[in-house]
Amino acid sequence: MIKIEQLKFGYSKKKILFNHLNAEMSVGKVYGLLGHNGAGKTTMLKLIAGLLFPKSGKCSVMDFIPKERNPYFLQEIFYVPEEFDFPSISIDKFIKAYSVFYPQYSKEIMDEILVEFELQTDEKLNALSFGQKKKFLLAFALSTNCKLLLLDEPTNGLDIPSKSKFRKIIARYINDDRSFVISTHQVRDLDNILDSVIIIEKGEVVFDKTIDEIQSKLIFRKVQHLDDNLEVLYSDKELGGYNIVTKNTDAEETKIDLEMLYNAINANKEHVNNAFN
Amino acid sequence: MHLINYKKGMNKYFNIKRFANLVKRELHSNMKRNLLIIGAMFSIFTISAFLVFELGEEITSEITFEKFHSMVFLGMLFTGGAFLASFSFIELRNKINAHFYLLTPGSSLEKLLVNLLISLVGFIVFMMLFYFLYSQVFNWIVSAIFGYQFSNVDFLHEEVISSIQVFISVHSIFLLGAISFKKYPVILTPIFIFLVNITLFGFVRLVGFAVFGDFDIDNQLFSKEIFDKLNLYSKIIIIYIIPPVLWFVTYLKLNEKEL
Repeated sequence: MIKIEQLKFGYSKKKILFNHLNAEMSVGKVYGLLGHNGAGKTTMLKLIAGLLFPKSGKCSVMDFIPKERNPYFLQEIFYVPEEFDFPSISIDKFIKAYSVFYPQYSKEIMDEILVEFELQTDEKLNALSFGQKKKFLLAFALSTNCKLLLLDEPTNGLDIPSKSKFRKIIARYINDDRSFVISTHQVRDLDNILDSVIIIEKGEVVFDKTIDEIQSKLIFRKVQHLDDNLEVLYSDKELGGYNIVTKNTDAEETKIDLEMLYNAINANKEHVNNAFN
Repeated sequence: MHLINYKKGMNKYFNIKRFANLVKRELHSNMKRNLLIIGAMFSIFTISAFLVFELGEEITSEITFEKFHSMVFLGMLFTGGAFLASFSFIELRNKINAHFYLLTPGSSLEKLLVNLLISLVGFIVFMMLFYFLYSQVFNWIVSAIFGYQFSNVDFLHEEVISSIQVFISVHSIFLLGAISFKKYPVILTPIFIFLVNITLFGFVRLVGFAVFGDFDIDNQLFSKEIFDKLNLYSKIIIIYIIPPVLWFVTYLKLNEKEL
């Protein structure tokens, strides 16, 4: 679905962000795009959406070239940015004005999610709080039934109950035809919904594995003492012991702790990547 | 794999349904602002006119009675048009909102045509109809209070038609300004036009001086024959060349717009 090859991009000639970036994402999956501030997560989403143009290299999405902004491409992708604002119109009017552009738009899905997020259609969009605006845009994005949803820090600004609702709603609308690319640094918010994890650092993809691969190669657990026999890839001391990431040598299945994984990659990416070889 | 086989009978540059949806979207988002601009313009003019009639000298000139509404109509057309054109693509000036505009499924051509339809064609037609009605009411009140009888605008008069043609050209400059300047295009565009004119004028003088030396260039150039030719060429450039060229440049700039 998304193919990025040898992509070069920078906001200025001196400040190159991506140099030979490569990534591939397939249809029907939920990708978690992780990385610290300034790593290039938002830039990557904008390149995929066609909001930024590569300096060189190739970026194709569903065989379209995003920078061409072909209308048939645009009606199959929806980008939810981290920050945005709405015109001063009601939810109802916004839906009327924008839903017509998306041939697969579903009013049923929209109504269902609006009820779940406790939003009224007669409310003025610019009178909503930031969290409510985000919930509305997420609801609209999902109801467009676009093949590709790009969500930039979607849980930023959501309260705790809404974060859990967000996970449930995303899980409900995942299907084999559509893909999600979710960029976040709040990794716990994406628990249980990801199929793949991509970590970018300094403009490079430093980790790109499916959840199944991670589960089969790594173990995440808590121990009281660090044992020399354990092949610890990363440890994090906390009250009453250590959270550790080790190689999975016994085909054991543990729950993936995305924050630990992210910290492990941050601390020593070669070490962790070697566990997959 | 293309999701939709758009190559078969589907047009990525222009589609009437998409275009209609874009027009509706534009009206939903920006119509209130456009009407406010027009309303403010008419209100300011009405108040000013009544103040002048009340406090100023009595109007006696026949030509004033004859051309009053034509001049006011054209003044409003140019002023309102400059504002409306400058507010085109306004979403692109706000980084937080620009993605909505750029990612709305529609081609750059359609998005450009929407702005031309609303702020140029629509505005001209609206102004003609609305100004006609306004001038009737205006004349009735002014006649009752001040006893003045102003002639109606003759929209088919040669001067009015050629002014509208010039307006189309001016509009295309402001439309390009709207997509080129990130802030205050309504102020920066005329400043830019002024600077370009000064530069061009200086360049022409310089070339004239280089070619003719201290030859009296003004008297030679502006003989009747040459003046007529220059007038014709200027008309052709202003009416037939500038608008399509600037629309094309605006289209390219819209196509190349990044966030």
